[in-house]
Amino acid sequence: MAAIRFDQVSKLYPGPVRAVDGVSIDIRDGEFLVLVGPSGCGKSTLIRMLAGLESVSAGVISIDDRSVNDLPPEQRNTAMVFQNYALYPHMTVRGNLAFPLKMRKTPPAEARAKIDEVAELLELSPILDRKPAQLSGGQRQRVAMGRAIVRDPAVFLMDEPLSNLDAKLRTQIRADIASLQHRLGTTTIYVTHDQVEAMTLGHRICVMKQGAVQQIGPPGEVYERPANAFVAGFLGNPGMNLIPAGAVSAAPDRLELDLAGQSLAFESSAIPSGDRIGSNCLLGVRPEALTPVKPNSQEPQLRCTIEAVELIGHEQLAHLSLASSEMPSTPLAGSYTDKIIARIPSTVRLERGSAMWFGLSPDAIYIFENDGEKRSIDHRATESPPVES
Amino acid sequence: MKKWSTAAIGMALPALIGLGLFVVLPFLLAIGLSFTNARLGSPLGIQFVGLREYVYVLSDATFWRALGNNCLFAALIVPGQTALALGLALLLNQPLRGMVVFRTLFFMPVIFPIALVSVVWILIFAPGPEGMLNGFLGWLSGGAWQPRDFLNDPTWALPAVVLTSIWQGAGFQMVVLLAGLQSIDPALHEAAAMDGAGRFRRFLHVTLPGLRNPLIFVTIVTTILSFRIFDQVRIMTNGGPKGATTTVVYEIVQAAFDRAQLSRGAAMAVLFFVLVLGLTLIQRRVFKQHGAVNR
Repeated sequence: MAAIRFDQVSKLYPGPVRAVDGVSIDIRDGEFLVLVGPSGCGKSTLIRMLAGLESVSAGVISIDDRSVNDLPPEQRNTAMVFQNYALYPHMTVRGNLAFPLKMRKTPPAEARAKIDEVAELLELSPILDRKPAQLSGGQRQRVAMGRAIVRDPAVFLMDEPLSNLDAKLRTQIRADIASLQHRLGTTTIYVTHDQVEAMTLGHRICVMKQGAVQQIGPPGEVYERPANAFVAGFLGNPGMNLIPAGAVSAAPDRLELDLAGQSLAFESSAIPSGDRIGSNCLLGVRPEALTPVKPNSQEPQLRCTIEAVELIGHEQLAHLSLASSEMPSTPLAGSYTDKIIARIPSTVRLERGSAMWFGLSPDAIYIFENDGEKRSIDHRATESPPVES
Repeated sequence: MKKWSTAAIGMALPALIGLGLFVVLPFLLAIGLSFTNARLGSPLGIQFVGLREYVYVLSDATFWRALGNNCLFAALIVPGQTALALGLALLLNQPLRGMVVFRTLFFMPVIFPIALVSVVWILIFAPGPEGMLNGFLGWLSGGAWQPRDFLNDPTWALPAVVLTSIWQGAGFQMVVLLAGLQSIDPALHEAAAMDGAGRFRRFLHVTLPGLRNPLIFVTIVTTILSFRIFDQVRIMTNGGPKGATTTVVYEIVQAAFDRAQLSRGAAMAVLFFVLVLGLTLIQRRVFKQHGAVNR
């Protein structure tokens, strides 16, 4: 059991590369925090620093208000599940489970009982005498978990523990990990690049990019109220559509946008006065918030051309472009384009090349500043924020 | 079993011919000669004498002395050289700058011909206070060291040859062990550290088991090489003083070429071959039984 604090923690590599850049996070005792971000965002470096496998360039990491910056890994009482599991190849499963106990000089009888208990918990009893090379990927994963659990560490660290498993097994073990953590109540930090794992596992998720924290909060809140365009685009599968738009006018309670020649007007009490928005911005809308409608000039609607359709079972992903056949799409600045993805029930017939209209509710849109750095209109500001679990 | 294609045989043929011509044929000839009274350059005809040469060799004290020395060489060189090679490999595996330079330096003796190495060490072991080692030991002990003639001292000659051999051979084993060290997943060391193992126990529980196969290879090869020892002995001590450094291979060469007793040399060679082969088979059997590593 432990509370963890990262206080302005940085990791510099010669170059100079800032792998982790002034990260501050407070993790409560017993909390399950998921660090999520694209590869190279510093999430693994962060937990490796907590484990003592990497030195801390600046800042303080503390476990239960005690700085661990200068403690070697063997004195930190953290346990890690590695991406490749790092099982000792010359030891049996029992030997692997026994190793951390042996290193801590646990009395043999107690160690045996503990191993049996963990083996029972993780269904490892039938394979205790096998060696790692004789195990399947899922079994190795469970042994790695067992080795971490067996000595009751203060903190569990998991570095992409599911990335070497096939999709079906991943879903199953994901659920197992969640229930295990709930049962043991051990503070857990879980690193992943998979936003589905992040959304489903953690009490809170921490989205990182280029060594810096973008947003921390319960999964629902981060999904519903992304702090910036990066978080919005990263979470969700597919992520939020981010369409460059020109703000034609932004009077109080009214916003008029220009999207590649189409004009959209919204009325909402959450829309602030015009001086908060630059002349250009990003319109964010989730794929599931785009609902096909009949053409109607009364409500804000987007006219799109269907470029491709992907059928995925009960629903389909329509790849759309704002360009009409008369007006070809033009490349836009930055990494944002006018390509849009909509999630539509499979019952709707979609035809490649044809035009389609989508309704946009003012509640379902997000406006980000042109550089994507900040959300400039918080139309949910009036709602009460979701309660943290 | 798959049928051998003509192309496969064609490609293997040059190597097979070489093996047959330079390894199998001479060895068969040696077996044949060992049952005769053949002498080098003798005008007399060759006669079949049965096991006479074997009986002679096995009752010859010099042969047993040489074999004893061989065992002594192996007993000193195998652990000494392996330990030194492992130490060097561990040092070179540190993530520090300039390791390539040290790796090259430590490997260099392997490239030097043993004849050159022997001459260099003769200079190092030179007698009298001007000798390098004598001078160094004198300086180290503040003058208390009595200079001695290492290579002509029955007590010191064999250790001196052993030292030369280790110095020359360790680089090769170092490279093999270094490659082994670098193939150990670094995450295993990290996992062991987090499991509570300090530096020494990580070495014991991660490094050593990870080096099992390279260590077996190194041990077997060093054993064979230390039994084959000849060049150093020939150049540095000529088997002396008083047979203190003679080896079986040295005795074989002495018999066959210096004393022209071709058949006696052949008999010794056959006996020696059987001995080393047996030893190697035993080693392999022992190492194989202790834990099958599946990776």
